[in-house]
Amino acid sequence: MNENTLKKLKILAESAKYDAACTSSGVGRANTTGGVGSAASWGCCHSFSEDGRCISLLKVLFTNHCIYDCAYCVNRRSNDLPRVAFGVRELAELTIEFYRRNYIEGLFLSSGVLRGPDHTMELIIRSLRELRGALRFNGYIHVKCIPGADAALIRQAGLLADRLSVNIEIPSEANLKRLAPEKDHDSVYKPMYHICKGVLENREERKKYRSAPSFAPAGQSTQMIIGASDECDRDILQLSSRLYEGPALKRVFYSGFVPVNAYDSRLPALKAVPLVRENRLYQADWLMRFYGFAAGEILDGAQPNLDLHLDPKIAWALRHPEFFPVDANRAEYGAILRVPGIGLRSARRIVQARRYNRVTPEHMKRMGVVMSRARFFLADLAGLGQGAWGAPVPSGRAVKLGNAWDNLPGLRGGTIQELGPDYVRLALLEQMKRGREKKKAGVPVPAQLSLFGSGSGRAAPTSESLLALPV
Amino acid sequence: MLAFRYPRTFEGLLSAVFDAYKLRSFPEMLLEEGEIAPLTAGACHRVEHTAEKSGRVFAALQKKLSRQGLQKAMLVWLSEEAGSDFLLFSYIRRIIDAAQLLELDLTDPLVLDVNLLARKVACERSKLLGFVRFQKTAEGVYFAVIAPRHNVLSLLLAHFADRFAAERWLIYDLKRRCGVFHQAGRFHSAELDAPALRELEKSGRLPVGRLAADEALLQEVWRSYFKSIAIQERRNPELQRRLMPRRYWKYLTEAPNGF
Ligand code: SF4
Repeated sequence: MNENTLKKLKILAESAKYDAACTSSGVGRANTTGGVGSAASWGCCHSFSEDGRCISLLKVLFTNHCIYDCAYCVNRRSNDLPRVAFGVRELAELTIEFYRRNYIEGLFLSSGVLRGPDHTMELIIRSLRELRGALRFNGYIHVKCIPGADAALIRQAGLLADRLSVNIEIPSEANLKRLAPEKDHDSVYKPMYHICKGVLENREERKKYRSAPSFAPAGQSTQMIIGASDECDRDILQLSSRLYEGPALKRVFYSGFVPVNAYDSRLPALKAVPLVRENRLYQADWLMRFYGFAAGEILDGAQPNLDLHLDPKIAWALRHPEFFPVDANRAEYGAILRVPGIGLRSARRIVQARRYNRVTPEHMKRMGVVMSRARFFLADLAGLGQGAWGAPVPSGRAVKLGNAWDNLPGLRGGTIQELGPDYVRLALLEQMKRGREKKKAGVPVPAQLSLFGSGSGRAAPTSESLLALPV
Repeated sequence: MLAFRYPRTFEGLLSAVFDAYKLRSFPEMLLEEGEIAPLTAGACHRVEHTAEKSGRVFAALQKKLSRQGLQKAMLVWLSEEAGSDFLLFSYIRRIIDAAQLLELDLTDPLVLDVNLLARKVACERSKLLGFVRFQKTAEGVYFAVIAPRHNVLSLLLAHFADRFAAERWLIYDLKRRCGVFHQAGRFHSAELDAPALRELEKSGRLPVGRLAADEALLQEVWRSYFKSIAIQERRNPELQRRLMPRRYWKYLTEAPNGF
């Protein structure tokens, strides 16, 4: 470790930062706590950079030398940049030192193409060997495979890494070839196929021999760049949905295009990174993976792109007033999940609680439901006025929930059935606008009382088994 | 208003529950030992803690709560929020009196309160699992300072003992003035000398003279990485602060100096 490492790291982190995938989610390895429970599978964020993204892994390129010339990439050979490469030992030591200080959960290693895909892949594998073998590193490793790399090399990498990924980058093959002349779909999907095969074979093997080494136990992921080419959201989501049908693909990441090579006329002239669009795609992706939505439901034939003003769940609800109102006390879990303002956790809480008692709007509010949204989509709210709110609710008026929206002139109570989707849409938009304004105005937060100086804290319970929480 | 004065431990609180059932009278207020009673306090019963008493209450709880439920009770205790001991006391009473399993009934206000508060504490613990920063000292000990809102130090130990099993490390809670030192799978309580404490209060870091030879450089490398990895075109400090509240920054190696 010396000043030189510092310089290299700066360059190789700068060149790696556009890759969106940086979660350490997946499984715990043998030596780390094998946490059950949902938290473990979300990965652990160690810090958040100035752009608000989670830093979980040391995300670097092995080298930023590259023989390819992809239009959307800073490291393309046409760019005049300082080019460096890590030493195998150097990178391994850096990772270990960061890990020991709890800066990171592990390593995310990617690389420009040095000489050719296979040669680069070999360098990556050597670094992993150094790390896992010589330095006995047990943390998380994510390796981005080089498109076009040989199946045998991918196999070796999979035995050392927790997760492998091959980036699709550009959703359609025609656009990929146009922007990255050295790549085609074959060079991306073939390694993806090998990883998938490796994971499946390994699953069988480990059923027979528990001690068989695991192959990419956290599966594979991929990334698409959003806005560098003209595919619409529907194409993108259809592709994601097909990928998720496969057995080993865990995540698709969407990375809003940062116009790094403005001189290249093949690229669209973007004024800003399409952050809102990226966010909407993540929300849609979330709906597919956890909320039971099909890609075709989120965007149907008439609509090529997601609504930038409303999240896709609300957009769906507005297109389907016939689905509502939903009765939280009777409807099945899947239907409750479709109510805007109700998330995974609050839906679970409702279903759990209603086995004991009737769940009232007040309960729901405390369970984390955003009632100002959900109110348009839930049945039987007004009828509960008396008990739940202390004062009788005039019939035909919505329950007052004490937020800015209540002061809205012309407020009418009722469900989406009674009010119509257009009215609800306007009301929700207005509500969000007010929410943003309120935030800007900077409502002061009351100062927290400090416990400082009150001597030592409360002694922990002595029962050790109680203290062993899952990660 | 009947008050109970009890020793400030989880087990002490369980002993208080025992006394209440024994006396058949339940306090409306809990006072910690040494705490000055407010004017509204009337009669005050002083709880003598014994392992026998707390053990019997714990056994009763074990019958009525799942392991997760017990953990939640403990998290509420460690929250150290004002009134959390009384909440916990009432909750335990509710659980013991209930005919059937109650812990999942979120329509019960006490159950919901316990769940929400336990979650807050568990969240802070999860955050800290990531935010703890070790600095390597001249003696080769990995040293970290925390000052969490809730008393979560004890909840971090198993994780780091597993992850850094071979290392000697120390995590110090500056707010509560207590630390835990780990060596070869064992924990020892640790204290710091006055000059170190002063420095930590001031800057959140150890004085450079106490660090291992390469440590300053390594921290510099991490800081530089932290800066490089942010995409300037996507700058969003508001989001950053929401996900990583300012109160943690003082002890983060990567936070700008002078924080
Ligand atoms: S191969 Fe990778 S590093 Fe090289 S130019 Fe293309 S995207 Fe950039």
